[in-house]
Amino acid sequence: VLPAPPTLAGFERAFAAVPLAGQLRNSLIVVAVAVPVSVLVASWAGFGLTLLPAAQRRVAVGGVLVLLVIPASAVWVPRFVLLSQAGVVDSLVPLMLPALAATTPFAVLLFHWAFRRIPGELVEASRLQGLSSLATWRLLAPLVRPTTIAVGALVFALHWGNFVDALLFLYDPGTYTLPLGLSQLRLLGPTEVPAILAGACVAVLPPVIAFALVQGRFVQAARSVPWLAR
Amino acid sequence: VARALTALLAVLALSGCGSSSAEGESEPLMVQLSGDADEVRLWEQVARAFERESGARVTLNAVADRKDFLAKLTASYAARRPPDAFLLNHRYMAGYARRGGIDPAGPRLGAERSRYVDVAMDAFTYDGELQCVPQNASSLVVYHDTAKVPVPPRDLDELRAAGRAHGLGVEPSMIRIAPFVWSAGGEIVDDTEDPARFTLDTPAARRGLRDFLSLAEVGPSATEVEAKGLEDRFIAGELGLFLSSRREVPSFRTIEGFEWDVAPLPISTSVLHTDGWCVARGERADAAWEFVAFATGEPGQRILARGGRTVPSLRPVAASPDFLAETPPVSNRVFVDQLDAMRRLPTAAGWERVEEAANLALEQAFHGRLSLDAALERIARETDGNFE
Repeated sequence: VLPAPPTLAGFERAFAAVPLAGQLRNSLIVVAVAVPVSVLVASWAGFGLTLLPAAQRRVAVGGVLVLLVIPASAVWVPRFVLLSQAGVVDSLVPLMLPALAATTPFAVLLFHWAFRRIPGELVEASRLQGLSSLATWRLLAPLVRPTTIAVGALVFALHWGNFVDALLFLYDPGTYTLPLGLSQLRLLGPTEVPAILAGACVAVLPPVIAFALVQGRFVQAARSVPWLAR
Repeated sequence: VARALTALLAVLALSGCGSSSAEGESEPLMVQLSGDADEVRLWEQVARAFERESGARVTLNAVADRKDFLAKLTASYAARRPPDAFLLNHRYMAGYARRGGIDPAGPRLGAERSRYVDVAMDAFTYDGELQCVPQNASSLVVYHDTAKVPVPPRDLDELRAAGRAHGLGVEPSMIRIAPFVWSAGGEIVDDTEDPARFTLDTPAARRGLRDFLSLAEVGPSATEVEAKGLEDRFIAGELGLFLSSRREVPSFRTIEGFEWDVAPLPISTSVLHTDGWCVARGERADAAWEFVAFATGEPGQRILARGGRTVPSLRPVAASPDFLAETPPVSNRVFVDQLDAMRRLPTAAGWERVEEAANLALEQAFHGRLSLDAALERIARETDGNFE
């Protein structure tokens, strides 16, 4: 498995063939913006759903489920037209914009289910205290921390591996993100497997580090919230 | 929360401004192509050489995979924001030409067209007009491991015999099968200029198909190919022969201690592989044409020829040391000799679709999962009338 002698030539070749450093920076910018925004929007939307009367909530959750089954390819062209007219094609903005809609409806549903598990008395008590919906959300958000971390991990994975949006909306090589770079490396051919795998290592490293950083908190948070086990 | 959001939106806005051009500067030409990293680097050289000569600016948008490239091109056309120029295989050009998306190259090229390989010019002609300018004109050849097969096969029997002894790899697809059908006296479609159906069920075409299918007996099985590709097997010395186009050359050149060469197909006809530069119809067509003329002219083709990936479509460059002196393969001349012994696949708006359907059936037949009759029946059922 290990080459003899061990060498970093694969990394040198990968970085020489494709500007991976710039692409890594662009991918990090995208996730740095998109992940927190997605989590925040999904959390607000999920909490908002729980505040609706039962009948309206059922309709809203049904609507979110419908959004979940619409194939992404069905909105490629409309999105392209809209973003083109907005003048943001060929920048990182189209890759981050889905964050304003929580990136995926599934994130909204996850938060909705998490907030519904919180005893209703807490929400009622905060209302009796005269707290606004936003203030109530701020009060309850720490109680759904495991979901927050899970949604963060989910949207991180979605944005980190987002190939299609990068393919459609990026033109200038200076704006390319890592999935496009890996796609270029993949075509180098069978004599360049070390370079391809080196590129894969570069792409995998940030998620691994992120996972290592939050794993402890996730387990700790899961243990500290008793109704998670229900 | 408000502070965090403000900061995030600021980053969002800044990232949106990053690539916009400075005020007063003209927008760079947007040029789109597909290819691997090494090929793209050669195109970067062409683009920079053009910038030095013309003073214009070029943004090269390279998409690695062909399917991804076509998806992006189609989406950008649908959104009415196509690239100014793009490099396209002749088999996929007709759909864009039929919808009037391509600014025809014929009137712009004028007398220069006689310097290009005829069959490649035919391949990019649609509705009686040259649409795009061919950048390369490769053919299907036999790569052979000279340690195992020092003398390349001269006919089909020798090809099978060498394959039986040392292994032979060939991908069962229309562009590989076509020369076998033509060499047996058959035709692929009813009309190359305006096809309506495949004609693989004629006696002559069936003879060619059987010749091709017989190669399956001397190559790896579908399962084996799934585990390890043909190219990998040839490089690893598991196959003595490998049928492919010029595209393998840069990769094979990097292998130390591996002696290989190319030989013509041991049948009467080969098949054209060509990509051409097309200009999108629109206000920037004149500026885009300047780049296309440079890229497909002598300066651009010489840079590409030295990289080894392409066979120049300009005859003077194909016959020059820029192409012939770069070895391996020692027998570079084979590609030049075949320039006049090739035929091309048809030009049809629905070709991508029908070719894919035919490839699936032919692959099944090649690996013995479908009889030839059943494969032909399926091809007819799925493709008749779907060429446009």
